[in-house]
Amino acid sequence: MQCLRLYKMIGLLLLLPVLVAQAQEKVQVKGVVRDAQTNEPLVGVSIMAGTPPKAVGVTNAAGAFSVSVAPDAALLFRYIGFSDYKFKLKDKRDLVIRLVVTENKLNEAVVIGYQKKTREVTTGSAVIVSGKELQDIPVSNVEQLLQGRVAGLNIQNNTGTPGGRGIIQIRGLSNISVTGSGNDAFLSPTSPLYVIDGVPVEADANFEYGYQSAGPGVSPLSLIPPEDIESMEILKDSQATALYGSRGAYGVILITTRRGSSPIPIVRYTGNFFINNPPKLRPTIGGKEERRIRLGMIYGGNNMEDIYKISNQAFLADSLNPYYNNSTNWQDVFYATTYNQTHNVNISGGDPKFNYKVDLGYYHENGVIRNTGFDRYSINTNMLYQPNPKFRVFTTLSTQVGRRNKGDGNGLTQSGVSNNASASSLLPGPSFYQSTAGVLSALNTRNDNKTGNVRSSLDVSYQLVQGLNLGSSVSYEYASNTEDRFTPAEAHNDFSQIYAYNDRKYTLYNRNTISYNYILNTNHNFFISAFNEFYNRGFQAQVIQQEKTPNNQYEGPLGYDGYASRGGGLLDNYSKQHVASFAGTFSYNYKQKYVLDVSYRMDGTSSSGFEDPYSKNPAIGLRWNFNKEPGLSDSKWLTYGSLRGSWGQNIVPTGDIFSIYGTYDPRGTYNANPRLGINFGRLPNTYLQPTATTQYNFGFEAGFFDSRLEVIFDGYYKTVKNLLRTKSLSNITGFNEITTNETSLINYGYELTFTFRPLPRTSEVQWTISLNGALNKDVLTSLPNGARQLVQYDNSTSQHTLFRVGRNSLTNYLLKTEGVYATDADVPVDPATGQRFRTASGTYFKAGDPIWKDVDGNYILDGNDYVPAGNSQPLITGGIQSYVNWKNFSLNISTSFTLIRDILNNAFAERMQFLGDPYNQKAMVDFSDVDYWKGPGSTAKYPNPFDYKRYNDIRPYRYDQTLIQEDGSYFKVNTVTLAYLVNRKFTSRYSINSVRMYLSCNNLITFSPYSGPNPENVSALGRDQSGGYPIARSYNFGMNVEF
Amino acid sequence: MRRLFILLSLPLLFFACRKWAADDLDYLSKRAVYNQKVFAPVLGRTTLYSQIFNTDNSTTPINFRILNVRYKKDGKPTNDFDQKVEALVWKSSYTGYEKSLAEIEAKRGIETHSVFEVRQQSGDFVLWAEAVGTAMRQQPDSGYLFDVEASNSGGTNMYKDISLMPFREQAYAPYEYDAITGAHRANYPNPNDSSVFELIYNHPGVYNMIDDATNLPLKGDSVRVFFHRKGNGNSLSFKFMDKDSLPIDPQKFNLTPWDSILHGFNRQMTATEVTYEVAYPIPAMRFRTKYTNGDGSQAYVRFSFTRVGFGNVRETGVLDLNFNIYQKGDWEIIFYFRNNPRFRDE
Repeated sequence: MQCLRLYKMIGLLLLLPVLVAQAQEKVQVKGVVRDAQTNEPLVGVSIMAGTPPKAVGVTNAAGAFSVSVAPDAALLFRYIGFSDYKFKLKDKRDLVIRLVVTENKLNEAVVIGYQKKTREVTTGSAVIVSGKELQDIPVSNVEQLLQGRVAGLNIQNNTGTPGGRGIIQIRGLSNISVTGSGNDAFLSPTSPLYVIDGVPVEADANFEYGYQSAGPGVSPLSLIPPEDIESMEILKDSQATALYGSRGAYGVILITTRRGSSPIPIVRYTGNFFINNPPKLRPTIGGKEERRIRLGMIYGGNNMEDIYKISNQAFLADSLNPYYNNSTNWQDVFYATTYNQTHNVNISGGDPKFNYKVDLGYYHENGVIRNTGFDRYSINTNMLYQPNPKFRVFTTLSTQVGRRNKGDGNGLTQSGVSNNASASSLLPGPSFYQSTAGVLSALNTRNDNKTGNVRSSLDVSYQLVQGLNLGSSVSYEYASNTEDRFTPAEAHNDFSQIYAYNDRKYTLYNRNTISYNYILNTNHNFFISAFNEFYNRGFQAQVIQQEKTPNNQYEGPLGYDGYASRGGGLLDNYSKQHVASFAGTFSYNYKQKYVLDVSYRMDGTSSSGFEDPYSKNPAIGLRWNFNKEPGLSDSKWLTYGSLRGSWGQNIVPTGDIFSIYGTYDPRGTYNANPRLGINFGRLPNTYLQPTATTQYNFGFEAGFFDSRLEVIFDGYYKTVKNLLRTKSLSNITGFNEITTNETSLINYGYELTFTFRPLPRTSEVQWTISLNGALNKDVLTSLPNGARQLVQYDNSTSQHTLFRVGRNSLTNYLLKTEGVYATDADVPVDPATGQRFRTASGTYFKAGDPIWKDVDGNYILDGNDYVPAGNSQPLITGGIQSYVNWKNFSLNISTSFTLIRDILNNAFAERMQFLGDPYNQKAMVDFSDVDYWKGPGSTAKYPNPFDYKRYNDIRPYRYDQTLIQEDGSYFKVNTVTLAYLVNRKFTSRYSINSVRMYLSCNNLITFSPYSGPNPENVSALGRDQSGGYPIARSYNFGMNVEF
Repeated sequence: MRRLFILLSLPLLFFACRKWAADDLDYLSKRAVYNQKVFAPVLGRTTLYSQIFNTDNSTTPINFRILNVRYKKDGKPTNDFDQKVEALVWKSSYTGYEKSLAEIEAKRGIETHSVFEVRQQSGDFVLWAEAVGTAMRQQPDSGYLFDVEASNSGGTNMYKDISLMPFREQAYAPYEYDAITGAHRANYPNPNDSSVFELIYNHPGVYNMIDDATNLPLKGDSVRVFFHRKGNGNSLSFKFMDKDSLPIDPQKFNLTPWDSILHGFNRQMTATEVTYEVAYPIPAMRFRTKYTNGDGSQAYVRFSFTRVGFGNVRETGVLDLNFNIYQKGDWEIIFYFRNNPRFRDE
């Protein structure tokens, strides 16, 4: 080390005379500096000359400069966020310099634990997505555009509902609690914590109750206009999320909105006009052909009674009756192409001392299902005031209103529509005189669902002495959801219905920080800070539900009437929660080569048992930037390289006060005294803990060949413990059940990201390809009472869920289908009794029936024949992005993939089940491409759907079998954007700074072996429900205009 | 440099290591049980005890094993269950539409089995019909005790002291001999006096027949049914005898569809009896066919005749019987009329 310093000194001494010599004769050089990509002039670029570089000037507001330097000086242009540009001055005196944006993951600034760091000294695993990548596609929820962009962030956009929200998981499954049954079985979402400009926001709000959720069901994320997003940052491991600990167990996503940065105010307008196309609908058999097939089935059954029954079924027999003589395309009644638009105006300006931003947004989308849609109105502002380097104030104020029309569905599904869209084509189309009130209900139900959201925050920091900072941040968020629904009389059994819902939710958040930064001998950097944090949250919802208004014109006001009221009042999902946290953090690095981060926090939540409310969450992280080691520091091929490792624990409060304190119920009066009695339903658990994740993470990052190839690899091992699960109690306790923390699981996996720039930096065409993939496996490690296995029975479709320790956490538990019996002789026979394989109720199997594996070998199909089959969670997720820029054109393609995942094609099974009852007035879907059993001896994949007599005994197309379980792997081209930047010379004539026009397409095409319409449009448990909201393909034309 | 790369690859190895989680083992509930612990099958019939094991959601298949077979009386171990027999087993299913004896026989085959065994995966017990030819203890002996071990990769359960108490063979049903002693069953009107008794006989169903002697309706108990095994072939004859034990010509049951009363072939009709070649046991299996009763458990035969009754009313006399014959042989079923029925027109 000593020697090195000596050499440097000598070098400097040797250079000195050269500098002196250069200073003598100077020439005037002028020129302009532009952004290579957008061609915008860059303001404030510093121009340096000589060795060592010395500032000789900066560019002015037009990007122009004029400096006087030595005639053969080496010029260096340096600007934040751009690569340095070195230039050897020869005889040129008028220059045009184009700077390229730094594309080096190492130099990205990341925010971890409310403090900004460069990536170089980060020990956690974090990924940044620039807002620019998310802005050319109009979507109601910006989250869906993150799909396939971040390794380990699994996003499934499984609903096309405008304003709705898909599934988002960071590093696999964090919960196994399944509520509801059948197609409505709902896996409780475990969304990461969103922190918008430093304010934590609960993204799962309005979705906790699954398909039974009341209210408009607008996610708070749908209220953020994508145009206002500067960047999003995804924190994956527990070191990165450590300081968001009291809710950070599922990962953290930070959203930074735009800031003002230009001394000249900039007005930026973005407009999008887009068309939403419903996906291809199912081919259906219509009219005469449908009746012919039904009658053919009945005659083929050779049963006189059934043939007589035809004459009682007017819809089969009375083919001349105009009511039954139709060929209605029901799907067309409900699905339609829609035209939509968004507008956004962003005004920003200011300098580092004072800057501001105002963003006005409007978004309008009509759903591809009629009578659904989403509108968003938003005003987001922020302001930064920093009169001197010591004092800083940052405030934000956001108000957003979302208006959503759900038709008669709930927030996520449209089961009413799917029921009616699958009506028989023989029935007449929609009219006031209707066969099914459901159609009217879906089309005429009037909705006025609003979500209002106000979020304000104030962040103040002050530097007492050099290195010692005090900071405080307060935010308050208030959200109100209302739903007003009017169902006209003709759509609801001749009595109109009114439903009014409202809820209120508030979050008050405060954080106070003290931090100290110290640099010892320029090599040792210390940072120490402590902070405390408080949350106060509350929620209350209520409902009014009345029937029988005098007529359809009279929708209120309504008085109270026990006859017309259908219940309501305060709903039982009241909640109030307090969280208090205390945390300390310590960071040290040596020459930014060896980095150590340690943090410790204590989180007390009111939803933990009062016996032990504080959970202790330590975290530690290490990083070694090995490219700074001698021997590698001057290598040509290695730009940067580092290893990092971390371990830590985070929590998420999951309990509720009723599980901790129990419930008292009013029990009427005794001797005129009101009585209160203990509710013996649930035994309080005073030791209830929040769900905690502990995670080991190992990371490797490297850039090669001047960052033209960059690699990030992460391996992790994550334990999710203290999951809540309610278990039954022995009746001697007097209580029925108790909620405990005995369930836990692990996730482990690998994440790999490649960024590749095949063309040199100086090339006219800039091309960046990035590829990422993540492999995640989850294993269930413990269940209540130390049980090894637990089966959650599903009474509506029998698609049970198996929880077994040592297996993937959510396993489908199904009958194993091994083909179709070609002939009667193929049915196995019990050698002792001669009985053929039969159902528990005694129906013998025969040719055309599915072969279900007789696991226990007793020649009877019973509950013991279920096998663990398939995993509803994907094994591999990832995506590929490509960005090409040539002159004024750019082409941006984003794709994603999900591999190895099992889907239960319930929609297909349901359609085939309709074929099993010729008397049922349901649609007949085209079955010509289904390889079903057609007669003795024929081998087929699918059983005979037409044996309607034995249908209910055998149920060949039952849901609970592996026949309908398919591989749901897919590769999807998410978005394609082609943009053109109009020549600046042309636009500046009209005093417009820039005009950018683009064509984009969202959800362009999906490649998949899956036989259903869309392998992504399935529930979190991998069930393709027919009631799902189809995902539209949208084509968009948009423009950015900057004044 | 090399040191560096070794250092770089070490953590990779660490993560490539096995997951630190429990193995994916089967589940075997400690509360999985046999619903039935005493089995008293009748020798000479293949008896299957099915769906007797409640797995309590254990992972199937479970492996079952019979262990520790012993006599209940003295606890001495025995190999009686391991005796091998050539058992008649079904290969494909009996439909009732077979056209010949050979066709039925083609659906069955011979396999070697232990006389009493547990089905390896379902826990069902099977006593093969052929066990009757072996030295199985039978009631009134207290029979056997044995244990069953059930196991899968999740563990092992032992079910102790399951009891097998076979009854002696009953070659046919209805059976008029005592299941335990083999003595002819009788009713004792006076429980204190065993010298006064009334033997129990089998009776067919008798409908619309007139006693030739008294002109009164013939009662059910005036006809007795006897099963008689006369050889080792595989035939079944029906005989009818009047009160003097003289044969009645079967043709007198003139409405009887002789070719379809029984799943038999090669009908031989004489003035004294009608004989079929049949597959034993009768019915071949418990399966509803046109030759059986409603649930397929017993064969059903129905003989009928028509005559002009008193007052020129046509009457149809019917004689029917539900029965089983378990033992292969040349069997006769004799209907013995203690009062002669009237066949002639009035």
